[in-house]
Amino acid sequence: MSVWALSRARARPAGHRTLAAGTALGLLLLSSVVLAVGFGRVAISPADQLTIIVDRLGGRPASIDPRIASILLDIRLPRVVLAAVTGAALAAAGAALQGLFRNPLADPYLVGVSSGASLGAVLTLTLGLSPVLYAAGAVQAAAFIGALVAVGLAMLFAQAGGRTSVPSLLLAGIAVAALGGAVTSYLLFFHGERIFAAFAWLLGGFNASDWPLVARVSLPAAVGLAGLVALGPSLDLLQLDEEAARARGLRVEAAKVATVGLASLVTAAAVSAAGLIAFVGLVAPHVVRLLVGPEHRRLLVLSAIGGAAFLVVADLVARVALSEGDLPVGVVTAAVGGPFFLALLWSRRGRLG
Amino acid sequence: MTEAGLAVARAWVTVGHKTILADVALRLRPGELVAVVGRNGAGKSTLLRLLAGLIVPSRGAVFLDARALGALSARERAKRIGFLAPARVPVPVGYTVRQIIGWARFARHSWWRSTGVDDRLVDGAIEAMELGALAERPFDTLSDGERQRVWLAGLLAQEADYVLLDEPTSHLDASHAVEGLRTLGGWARAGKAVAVVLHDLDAALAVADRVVLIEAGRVALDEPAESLATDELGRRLGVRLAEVLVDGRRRVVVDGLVAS
Repeated sequence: MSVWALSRARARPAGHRTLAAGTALGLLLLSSVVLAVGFGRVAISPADQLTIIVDRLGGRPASIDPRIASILLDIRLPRVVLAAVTGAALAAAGAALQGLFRNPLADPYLVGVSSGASLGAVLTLTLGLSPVLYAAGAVQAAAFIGALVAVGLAMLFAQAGGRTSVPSLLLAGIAVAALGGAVTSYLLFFHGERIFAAFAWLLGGFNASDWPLVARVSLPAAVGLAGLVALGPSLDLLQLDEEAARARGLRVEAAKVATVGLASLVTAAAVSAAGLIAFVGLVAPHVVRLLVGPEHRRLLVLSAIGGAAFLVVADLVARVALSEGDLPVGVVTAAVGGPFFLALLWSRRGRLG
Repeated sequence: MTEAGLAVARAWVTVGHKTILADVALRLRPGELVAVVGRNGAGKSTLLRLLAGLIVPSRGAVFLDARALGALSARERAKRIGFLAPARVPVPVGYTVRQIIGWARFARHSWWRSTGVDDRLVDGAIEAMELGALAERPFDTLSDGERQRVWLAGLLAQEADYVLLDEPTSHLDASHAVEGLRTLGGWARAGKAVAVVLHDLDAALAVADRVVLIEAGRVALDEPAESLATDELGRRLGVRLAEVLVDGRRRVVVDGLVAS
């Protein structure tokens, strides 16, 4: 009985740590949103933010200058929400794929998503469609479809005797990415006049944010995130060899396909709206794993919150760093994420094998 | 096929042109411990995986209480049948012992979270395998012997009434091996059906109620342990077996190691 009591007493701090980490990350996200929404050419205090939002939700006429209310509600808030959704999607997808591949270097772009999305976007940009189609989100739609087509191709080539080979998936993803990259480069080479537009898209950013775009991205992202969190226990079992996972009742094949499908869905949604933003999907899961351990349900939820906060702050930096115009947010995440990740590797050296 | 038990009915397993198991019939009954012995490559592990529902026979069928095993969902199967393979790579990194034992409850989890019942069963398994002091340790920091106790605790927490183990003692020192086999004997007396692939013939004959010898993909012998003729077993396995008495009970040693 004493042994039992000891193990229970020790079990509790792990739960407390999750709660503490969740609270801390939640507060971090909230404060980064308040900061990002308030910062800019016109500063909006947290109290004014609250008043404007409460007024709008209550349907009351604005008690604060309507021009300021419009800056908050129509410009800054959709941008910040889009950054948060994108960060959450990329971080959760990274956590899920790191689990599936049992590889800490996996990121959301591993299985061809980025290459497919780039090809879709560049194809649309170089086709010279009518401005109406561009305004209606043709580039984002093409990027979304391109991403899913690329992953579908990689999955197809990873099939072996009715099952999905995870190592083959990795290799097929690299091959598909190379092929997509070749076609993208070809298109850009013969459409030099579109290179800047394409490059700006590839680097990523949130300056085209509005509520309809937020809605188009949030729906697939929310569905995918919920699905990935539900897959958490399955991802834990996939840390065993497949036979041991099956012996515990896991439908291994279904779990693998669902993980790749849902991770690609949320990544495609994020990339279609915001371009290729590096390092969020790699770094956020690593930090959260250090805080609460590898169990996937909490890892996925907390990575999503942490990734959201990270990208909101990164976009704020991108927005205010230059006196004129925006820095591409992908530059900020890589500039912050790269050194941070190196520091993490240095502090954990020797433990990665 | 109305009798209770886990039964292979005239099953073949072929991979490509190679026949691994040929016309095998075998039944495991609740409350008995069956040792499966045989030479390397005879088909013992394949037989165990067939019983576990992890591979399907090329011909023939496997039945669980008269229901075709293939008709059960993965979760239904895992509620009834537990399975432990010898070499386990990769080793999950960073998970605590308690978390890994909890994975055995996957088939009974609600999709959202583990229940209080699960926690109690995991606690019980930790206590039974004397893992209390290790419960919150990262699994990957444990020794081979400790890891094996974690897997056994998982089998216990899984609450399966059929337990199949492939060479569970192969990485264990003598005392852990004895302890592990005693545990399996206890499970059988508690009503589980236990089938275990063993190379240690003394252990097989000492703990098992029944010994099944697999030879070139066929069941060559299927006898109660006490009436098994050791000279025939030895002949079929290519060794000379000698019988000795230990505390008045028959034990078997492999002869030929001692220089004359």
